Amino acid sequence: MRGFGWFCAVLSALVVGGTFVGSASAETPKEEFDAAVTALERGAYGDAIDHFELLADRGFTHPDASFDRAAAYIGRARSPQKQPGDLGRAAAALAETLALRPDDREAESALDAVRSEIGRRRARTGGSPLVARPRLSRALVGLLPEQAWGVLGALGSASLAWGLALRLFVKRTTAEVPGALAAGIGALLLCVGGGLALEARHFRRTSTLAVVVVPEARLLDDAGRPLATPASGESNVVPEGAEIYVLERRGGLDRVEWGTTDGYVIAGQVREVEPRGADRP
Amino acid sequence: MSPRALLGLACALVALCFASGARAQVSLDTQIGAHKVELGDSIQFEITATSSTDEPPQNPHLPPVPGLSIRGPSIGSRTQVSINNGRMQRQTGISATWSIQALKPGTFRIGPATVDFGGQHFQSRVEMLEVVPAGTLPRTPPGGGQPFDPFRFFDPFGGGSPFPQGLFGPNDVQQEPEQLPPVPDEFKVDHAPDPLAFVRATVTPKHPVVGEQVTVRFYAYGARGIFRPVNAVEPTHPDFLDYTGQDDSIAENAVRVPIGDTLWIAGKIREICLFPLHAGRLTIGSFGLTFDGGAYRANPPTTRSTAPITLDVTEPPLDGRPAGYRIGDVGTLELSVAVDPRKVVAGDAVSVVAKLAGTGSIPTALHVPEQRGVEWLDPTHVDEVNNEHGTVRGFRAFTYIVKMHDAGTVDLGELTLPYWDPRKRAYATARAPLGKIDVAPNPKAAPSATASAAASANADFGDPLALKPRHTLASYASAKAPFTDALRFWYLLLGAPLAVALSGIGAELGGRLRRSRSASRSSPLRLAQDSLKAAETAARSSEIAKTAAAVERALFLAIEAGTGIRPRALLKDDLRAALAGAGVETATLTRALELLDACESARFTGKSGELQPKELVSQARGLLGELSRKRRSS
Repeated sequence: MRGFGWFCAVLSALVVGGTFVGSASAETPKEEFDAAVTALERGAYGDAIDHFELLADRGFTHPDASFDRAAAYIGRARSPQKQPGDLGRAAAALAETLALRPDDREAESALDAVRSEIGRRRARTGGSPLVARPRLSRALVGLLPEQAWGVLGALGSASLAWGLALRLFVKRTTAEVPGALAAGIGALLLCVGGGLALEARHFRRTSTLAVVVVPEARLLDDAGRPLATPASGESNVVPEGAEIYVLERRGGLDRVEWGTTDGYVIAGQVREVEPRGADRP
Repeated sequence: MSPRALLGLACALVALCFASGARAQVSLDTQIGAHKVELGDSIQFEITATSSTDEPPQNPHLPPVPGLSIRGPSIGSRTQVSINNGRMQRQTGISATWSIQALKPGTFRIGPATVDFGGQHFQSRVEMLEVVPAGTLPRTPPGGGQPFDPFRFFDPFGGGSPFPQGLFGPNDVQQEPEQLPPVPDEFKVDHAPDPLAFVRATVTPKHPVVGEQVTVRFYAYGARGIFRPVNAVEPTHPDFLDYTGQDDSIAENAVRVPIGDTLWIAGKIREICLFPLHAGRLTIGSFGLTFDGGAYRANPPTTRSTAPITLDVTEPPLDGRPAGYRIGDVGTLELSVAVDPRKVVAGDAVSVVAKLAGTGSIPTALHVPEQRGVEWLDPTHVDEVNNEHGTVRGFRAFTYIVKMHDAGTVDLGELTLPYWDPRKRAYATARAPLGKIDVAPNPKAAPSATASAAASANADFGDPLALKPRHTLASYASAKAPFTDALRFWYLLLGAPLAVALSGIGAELGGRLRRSRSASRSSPLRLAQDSLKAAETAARSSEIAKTAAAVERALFLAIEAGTGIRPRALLKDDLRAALAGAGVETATLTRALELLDACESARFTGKSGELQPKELVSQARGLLGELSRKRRSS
């Protein structure tokens, strides 16, 4: 009987010890989120940011967590503990919220407000504007969603197939004109829709939207030297909160596209927004 | 005393006051590594000069001393903030360190060192140094008292070896192999990559995490007795923080290391302490040097170098990572704190002095417990992080001014710093509880002026940046991959019109082929061949009439295929003329007509004449071939 008592005591100790170690070593994402929100509520923005960033590091993505992360960064940016790049990080978090939940109106207006605030601050110091003119192909692709271009291409394909069938299989002369018209329009739609859908897919798979999270990110060459100012007069300094596309990661540098300019920035100066597509190369 | 004399006296007094005031602003402290050394030894002499303003003293200078070699100084800066009776005092200063090597015996007076501040010179204390002949001071050799201490071949400041060259030549060291002391493990090498000399590098640990100390040691080995390492080429390490300090050279005693059948002289040349700045495959450049000395002097010089070292640096694991951990915070750390005063009036400040001590590069920031109504100002630092015998250790002191805006008893919480302990391979958190502060109401301040009220004002309706936190994780539809990602979409997009086009082309080609085959089946040549086959069949069964009829038909069709002439419509003579006119050779023509005659005769008589049925078929086949060639040539 005494031996059984010892056994129970040892077993209890093991169970309690194991529970303690387990709970201490890893919190669930929900617990981490709750801790972050509690810190945010009491104005401990740095603490809240630590929890939200840990969640993000562990691969947890949720639009509400990203939104609250943005709230924490904005809160810290307006507190005496403000750090350079806080508003840029808030913009990145809001962009991530919109990437995960595109119809989030509150996040959309908050992102506009953050960008306005950054723009206002830059205007005081005479900094370059937040938005750069995109290159033509990206501007064209951006006119419609990728799937809309795909549908357009599919319509063109069907029309071209129908027109060719009329021309090749129907021997009546009355079918010649409709066949030629359908084939011509279909070929045009197929080229435009299919081509732009392919381009949009290419952009999505080879570049990632990112946001600058430092007051200014200077564009560099592949050796890390600052790029010379182009003759067009465009700035080589990407401002905080600006959206750029990361094309390649090479050591501590990221190759990026900002407007019509390609260059490198230091990897820590930008934060990639969670990609929407499931599969990335 | 005249008024002019009084005025002069007053000016002198004022000048004296100012001078003494300025002197009081700078304090100088002196330290020396030892007061008694052997000839050839090196020591460090350091002064610390601090001023009570933001401007540090400058231009530290130590006058030369005959008989001593003085190198330096290496200058470091320091800032210290203290609060006494609610008044903040800030001190800024420098530390200057000289390395002094004894070149001859005697007693020397070192200093005074001087610094400049506010246009004046300030002098340090004078230190005395006694230099005695080598070997007269008691000394404990490294490595547990090895008897072999032949020379100190490395001179950190390039003064050259003080030992006679060739003291331990190859012959010398081989004469007394039995007296070899044990070789320290770090010098042991299985085989020599070079028969004359080589340089070797070791790195510890081999798989560090970001921020963990990496110690790289470089050893030189020579097979021809003693050598002097000169012209060292230092390794590059752009991805590392270097805590080696100004003088990273190791003045180690040489050791004799048996490698194979040869006794080598080896020494540790460098020991550098690095901290990886980021994850990835990071490279430490090669280290090279020239072996100088009697047996090594050659043209070109005996120069050796190590291969670059590549390290796989990772981040500490995500599992178990505490919130607030910053990549690079690695070491073994302890945090202590002092808070003063504990009772203040709302709007006043308290001082929090935290000291973070331990090993590693010592993080430069702590996590402060923010809360509404408590404002933490940026801290000031006092740092003392050094490389001590291959381990970087020290402390950083952070002085915070914490403004208490709201009245009441405020629990400040605790200062924390999560870090990765490389020895335990686990995360740990250094903590220091700050306790409570009694904040009395401030009768002079309006309640609405508090920071917490200002913070709550930010949440006013209409402020677009006052985001209300979301307390729950609402469901959302995760975006699916667009259909344009599927390859079958692209197959369909291009395949549909392509399939229709190919089908049309296929149908057209099929029709043409069908017509062509149909045409070929009714050609005279094909019919002639069919008739010839029928003749062969009939010949095998010895049916002479049938054979003759079939051969005759085959010939007529062959003539038609070869010349385009329809022979049945012509008389025999006309046929001869027509065939001749069509260019058929006379011999062929003659044989064809003779065969036709034979066939006609056999057909009517039912008997084989001169030619047997098989002979008829054989001749017909020959003619068929000739007429076909005629067709092809025409």
